[in-house]
Amino acid sequence: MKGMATALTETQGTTVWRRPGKYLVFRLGGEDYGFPVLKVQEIIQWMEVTRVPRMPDFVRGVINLRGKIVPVIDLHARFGLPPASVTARTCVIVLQVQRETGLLVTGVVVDEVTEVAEMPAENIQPPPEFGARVSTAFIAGVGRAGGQVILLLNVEKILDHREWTSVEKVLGEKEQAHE
Amino acid sequence: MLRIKPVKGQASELIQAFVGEYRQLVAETQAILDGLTRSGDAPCHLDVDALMRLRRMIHALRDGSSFLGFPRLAAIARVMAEVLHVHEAPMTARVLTVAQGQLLMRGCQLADHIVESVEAQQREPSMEAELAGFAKMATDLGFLWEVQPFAGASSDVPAESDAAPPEMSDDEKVERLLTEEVAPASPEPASLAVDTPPGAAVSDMAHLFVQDAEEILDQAEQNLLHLEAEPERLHDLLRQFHTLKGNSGLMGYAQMQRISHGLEDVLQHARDQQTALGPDTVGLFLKAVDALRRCVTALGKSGVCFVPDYEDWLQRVEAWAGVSTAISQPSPVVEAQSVAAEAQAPAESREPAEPLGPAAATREGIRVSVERLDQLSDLSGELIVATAVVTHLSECRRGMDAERFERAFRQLDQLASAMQSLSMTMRMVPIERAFRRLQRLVRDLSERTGKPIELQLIGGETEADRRVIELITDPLIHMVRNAVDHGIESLEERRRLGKPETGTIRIEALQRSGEVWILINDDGRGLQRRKILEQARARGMIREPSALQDEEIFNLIFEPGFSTADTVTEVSGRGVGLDVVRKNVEQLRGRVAVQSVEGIGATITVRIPLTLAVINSMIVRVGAEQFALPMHAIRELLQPTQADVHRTANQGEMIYLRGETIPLFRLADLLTIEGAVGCAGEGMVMVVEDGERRIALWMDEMIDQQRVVVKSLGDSLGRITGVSGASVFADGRVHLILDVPGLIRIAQERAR
Repeated sequence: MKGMATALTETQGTTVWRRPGKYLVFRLGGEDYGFPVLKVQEIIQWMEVTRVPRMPDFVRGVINLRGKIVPVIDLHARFGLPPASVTARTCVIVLQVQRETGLLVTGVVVDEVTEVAEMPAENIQPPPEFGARVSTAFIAGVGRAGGQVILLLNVEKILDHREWTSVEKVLGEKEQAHE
Repeated sequence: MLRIKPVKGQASELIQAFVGEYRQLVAETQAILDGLTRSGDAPCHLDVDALMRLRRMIHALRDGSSFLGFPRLAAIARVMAEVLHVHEAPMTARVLTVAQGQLLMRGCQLADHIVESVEAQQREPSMEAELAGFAKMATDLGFLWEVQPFAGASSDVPAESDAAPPEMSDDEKVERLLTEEVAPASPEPASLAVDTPPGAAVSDMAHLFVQDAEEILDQAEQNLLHLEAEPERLHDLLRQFHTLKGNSGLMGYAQMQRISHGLEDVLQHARDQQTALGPDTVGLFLKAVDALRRCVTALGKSGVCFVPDYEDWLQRVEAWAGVSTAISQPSPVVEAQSVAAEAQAPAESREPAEPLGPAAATREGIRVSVERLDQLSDLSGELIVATAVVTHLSECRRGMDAERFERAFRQLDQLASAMQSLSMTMRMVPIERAFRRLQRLVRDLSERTGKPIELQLIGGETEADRRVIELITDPLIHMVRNAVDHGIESLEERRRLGKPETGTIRIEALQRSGEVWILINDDGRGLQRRKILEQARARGMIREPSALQDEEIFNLIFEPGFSTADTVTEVSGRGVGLDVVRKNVEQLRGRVAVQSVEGIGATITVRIPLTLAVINSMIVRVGAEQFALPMHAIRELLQPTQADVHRTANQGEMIYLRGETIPLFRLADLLTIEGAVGCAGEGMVMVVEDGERRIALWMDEMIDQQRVVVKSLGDSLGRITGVSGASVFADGRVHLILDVPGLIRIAQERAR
């Protein structure tokens, strides 16, 4: 259990990127990305999304997941990539994150889900400081698996709904100022 | 205390064996523990196998260490066992929350450390800080049932090692005393053979206790308030405190038990002597009820039972009763509790006596009559039969009789709606609940302001959805405060005006056309139109005061921060309060309106739909999208012609309707939808109203009227202005439900 204790300090420290474990790998705009499997609740087929007005454009809308209303976000738009069309392989990865208010469930549209890859700590590098297509804020680390480069994503940052609601909040504040 | 104390030579052998077994078990569970580490800040899934292995390891640790007399290790193990045991139904896979995972990890680390030291020195190390930290973590999560070993109590092996018990911090003292509070029956907290019952069972019991106690205290309060007029209520009171005493004794909440016992004695005495309780005593009783209620509220949240200022209360109560002999002499435990109460008191008093917050409400249950439950089981039985009939019919489809099939289907449909409406009625509670606090509030306010006030409550039996009752309680309080402070005049003024000296506040609840109406009326001075206008103009809220109707002016009082009070009093005047009323009422899809006659009084009318789960709505289309619009907000439908629509230079579009001009907005604009109709002659116009403002909405098509089941949009999207929820339609697609007050707010923003 000694080994365990050191591993713990390491994860608790600043080296967030070195988070070894299994990752769900998916494609987006021709590149490979990964989400920690532990954050993935399920993967579902693409389904019609109901748009929600007055939301930032990366919020695609909401879907009905077995009677629960779940928001779906578009990673292309979130990352500032050119939009992609829906194909037979388009899926929604349903993620869950623990928040003070409870478990937050959110869907994320991706082009294609490819595999689950085991990512040992030694294969994970810190995120590049520049040069990536995607803002480094979203990248937790860069993983390597069999010659393939996988951008490991920071789920919390992507699902940071304070940012989503900021649009609505700005509007709301403006309204209040008028009242 | 029964404990086998191993003799010296044997001890080291036993310890070696224990350490060896522990290491072995840890090795077996290493992979699982690593998984826990790795999961970082995600909830950790444990399958049945992992759970079994972990439990085996932890139980071995617990039993071994308690046998060998390592109380700290045993206590850590017990906490860990608790973590894994919670909600233990049969053995099923379960998810540990992040905090639980961390607690488990921390426990493992500490256990490792202690075992190492035990191996080397055959005794537990003193690691007060670490243990206190762990105890805090565990207490916060509600896993700690006994803290003695953490609170600096000495380790038994070897006894001479701790000559003087380490100085305890206040926190530790409190924690230590907590233990005795929870389990006063076990004088030897370190006797480890008998475990505390599983966490789930205890908290369920505590939960039931809280629910009961709240009810009892509410009833007791009512009885106290009416005691003067109806002395026979004394018997009820006596019974209530007796029950409370019994229940809290059963749960081992010694402080509550003793206070209620004392109060019961006072009442008993009064009954035996046939004397009435004086108003002072009643006042003190009410304060005691408050203290007990605060204690119960805290208990519901934290699982810890503390009466604020316990010692004071005990003394006071015993002094009243004059029967201190009846209550046993203070035992050491009691003294210890007083210390705890002292330590706790400042923290407690800082916390205001808040009504049950949402945190506590979420876990609250509901009382359902047996009759309704019976109906529900009958209906569900019928539903099963009806489903079987349909299944049968569809199986032998060859000779299918269309008519029989249809009949079976209709039956199914009817049963489904019957069940739905029945389950709705189960959520209904009498509005009485929201009224309860008002009696007390008015009594207190009347005392504080020196205005004699009579409160009339009418229609308390009117039922509404439980959530309605929850959300309406605060607004009612605000409106009553407001009526007392701003409405009812001072005694001198009333005398001068020739009004009855006692002011009257009348609150009436009634059901009307699918809505609950609550009317709050006072016979005070009414709203002062001039003052409101002045304020509004000063704050730039209005432009053309002359064009405003009385109703519009009065509604300004619901705006955030609005106050005409010349001075901020203790009771109200800060301008918060009435905006809460509107906010909560709108959240319930209701409306508020004010009527007032200066010098005579004011009436606030609150109208709220009976239930929140299903609404009648109009399905409308805008561009390619469909929305549900609540019917109760729709006033009129019309097909616009060129002649009706007018474009003005600076006010956008207007529509003329029987001589009235109503601002016209395109729903597509408000919701930023492209591809909707553009010119008059096409589409539909709907006049909607939020109770005060009225606008016309232009949309493409009106599709159908439908009852829709309202679902929340969830936390992630936050609150969206103009959208109140979503509904899943028969085709499985999600449709948004529009929120008219929100749309009107967006429209107003656009118009500026």
